[in-house]
Amino acid sequence: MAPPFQITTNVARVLRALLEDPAGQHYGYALMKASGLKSGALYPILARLEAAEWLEGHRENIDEAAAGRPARRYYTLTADGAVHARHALAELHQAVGYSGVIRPYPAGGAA
Amino acid sequence: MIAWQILGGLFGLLLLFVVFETLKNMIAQESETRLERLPFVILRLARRRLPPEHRETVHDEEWLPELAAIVHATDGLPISRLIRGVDFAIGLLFNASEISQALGLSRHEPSTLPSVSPDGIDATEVPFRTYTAGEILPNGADWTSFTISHIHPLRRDPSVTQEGPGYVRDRSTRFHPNYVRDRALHDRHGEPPIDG
Repeated sequence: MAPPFQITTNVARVLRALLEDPAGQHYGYALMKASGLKSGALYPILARLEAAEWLEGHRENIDEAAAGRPARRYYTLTADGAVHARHALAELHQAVGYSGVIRPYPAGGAA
Repeated sequence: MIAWQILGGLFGLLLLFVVFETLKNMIAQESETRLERLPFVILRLARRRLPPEHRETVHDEEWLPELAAIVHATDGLPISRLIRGVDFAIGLLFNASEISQALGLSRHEPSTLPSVSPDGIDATEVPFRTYTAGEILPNGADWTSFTISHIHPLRRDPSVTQEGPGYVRDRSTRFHPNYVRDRALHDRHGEPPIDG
């Protein structure tokens, strides 16, 4: 199935950063550093991924007074999102003749 | 006489030095404080470029806490804090319109609820945990000050996470603590955010 948005280089960079830790909690600034994108490029991509239900947004569960800062919003890959992201990256790499290690499913089969 | 003049001159120089040092420190402190606020000022400008319905969920709940975390993480490193903070905020300022466009795909919710009254909550119509005004609003606040942000603490309510969703209802709208997702589903499928 074609993704509901175009897989641009920037989208691919974000997907790759997310797939580095598919079950992890991903924060905006950490994703900026991992993907090498600026905030203005990252957040529209996150919004599109969330709209496509590849990502879910959550509110950080912290004691704001103890932490000394407000709770942040973080993102997690949905199960379908992880599969779609791997497919999208695999297709992109195939299209550009890349023969690296991206596979449509993680080791051990489909999620 | 000459000795007094020399002493007076030295005293004058000392006074000048003290005044100069004090002014220098005040200017440095003023500059530091203003530079510390610069990323937040830029982010505030970015907020203004967002459509009103996205300002609270996007700026107040996502960008601002993220910037606060960046600032918090660089405590004691004023130059790093300034560079990282400005870098974060300025990207959002220049791309606010694109972000708004992308957000239009996923987040649809009003920034404030229309006139809400305690009478509007009707537990008999909602087969889930229903909240009263006193549980949601801070002491002394009335329903006219109720905004979507008052729903957020409900997400931490154990009954929401363990027993199922909780709802707040006014006369026209029902809100789930995960209202963003529900509103998106509603908009996509034309179904009510929750089943009554």
